Amino acid sequence: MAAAPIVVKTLEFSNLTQIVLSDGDSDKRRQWGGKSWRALKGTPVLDLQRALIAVGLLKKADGEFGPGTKIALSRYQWYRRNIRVCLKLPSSGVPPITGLVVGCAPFFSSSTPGTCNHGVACDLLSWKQSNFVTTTPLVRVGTKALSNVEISDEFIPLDYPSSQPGEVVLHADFAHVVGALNDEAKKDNVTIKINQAFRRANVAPTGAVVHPAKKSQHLIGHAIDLNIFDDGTKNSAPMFKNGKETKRADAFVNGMKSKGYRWGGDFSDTDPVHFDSLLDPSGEDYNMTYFFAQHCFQGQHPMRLTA
Amino acid sequence: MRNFNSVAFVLSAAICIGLANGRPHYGGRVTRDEIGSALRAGKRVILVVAPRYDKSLDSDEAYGDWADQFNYFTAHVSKDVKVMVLTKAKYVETVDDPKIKGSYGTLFLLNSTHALLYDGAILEREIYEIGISRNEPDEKAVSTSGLQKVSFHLK
Repeated sequence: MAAAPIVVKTLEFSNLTQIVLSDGDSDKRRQWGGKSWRALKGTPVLDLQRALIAVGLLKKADGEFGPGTKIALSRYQWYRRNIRVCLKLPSSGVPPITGLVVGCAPFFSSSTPGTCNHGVACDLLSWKQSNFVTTTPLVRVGTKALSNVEISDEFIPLDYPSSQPGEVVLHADFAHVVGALNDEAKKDNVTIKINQAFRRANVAPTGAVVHPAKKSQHLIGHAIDLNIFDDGTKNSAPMFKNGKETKRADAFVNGMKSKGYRWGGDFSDTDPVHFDSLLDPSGEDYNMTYFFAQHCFQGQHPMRLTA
Repeated sequence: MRNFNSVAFVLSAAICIGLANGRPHYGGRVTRDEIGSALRAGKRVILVVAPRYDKSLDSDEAYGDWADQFNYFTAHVSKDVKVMVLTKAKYVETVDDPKIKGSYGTLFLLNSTHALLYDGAILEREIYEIGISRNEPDEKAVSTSGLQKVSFHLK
């Protein structure tokens, strides 16, 4: 009797119908989905890692699903749920990056477990084939066309190729603050001068001696520092501290607070030049936003300009 | 052990070079003798009271804004200015007058007996510029900058 033909099965990354790749899996040991599959061949972990490299989230591929792969995959899953913009590389897939694609349909995943099932694999592969790269949630916001908001002399421009004078950099979800500042300033007949918005991490200037705050809302583009000028009078932080601010400055602050912005003058150590939209610094959204904002800023990704 | 000694040597050298370059330093080493000798040497002295950094300050926006402005200031200040950062506890131990109300304060020493005090966290660069200028601020500048001329006495 003839022996039954040996069927060699290959585990394809694009067809992970039964297996969910997770931390500890290894192509070399043929361990996938936490189980040993001696009869199967394939390099799904390597393929996953190559896809993560292609979308800009991993540096090395070795076929071993370790903590680095898990973090990169979690970031991809979070990104696909939350960010609706990506970069498109030239067809060769080699930088320099060419342009932004706005409105990339989000891949809705209810969580970011850092494991890879069929749906995630297909999504990653489609991104890889489209030469899409994850990018920054930050945007440039122009102030030149605004009647009551300008950039102050104290403003330190960010060292960034696509940033122009008269612009501030903020998270896309917080960019509306500039319009709100202008509307409120117009209403209260004051002028706003912006001192700082997004702050780059890990660039303490030479000579710095104190630790910067590592979880500030500025580091994710969710905060803005400013002074309120009333008929030429600068309502400085000490004026607020000593209760000597003008009535119109008070009206402006109250107007901004009523629009839902958090004012630093209400903090226990007061910071009356500061407005923000608090994103819980201990939460996953803060950490992910921080990563994409800072990582892509340092990579000098192009940034959208909003009005 | 040899590796440890090498690391210690490099760290010590880095600290010494930093101090020799006039960079400010932080913490418990600030003494009244050090303040006195800097004044006698004709240096401008700035005493900065601030909380010692710990992780709880990472999400404190007032601390973050203060640290950002302070680091910018120290990076651009003249080498003739000696900036000393100390905790409130060390300040109380070293300086008799003036008293600082909160956990932040900045004293721009005018001489061995007088200073301009900002009692709080400086959040605007202009205040450092007014404080560091040799001229005493006029009434309007005092009102907007929050600086006040005070007597200064070491313990």
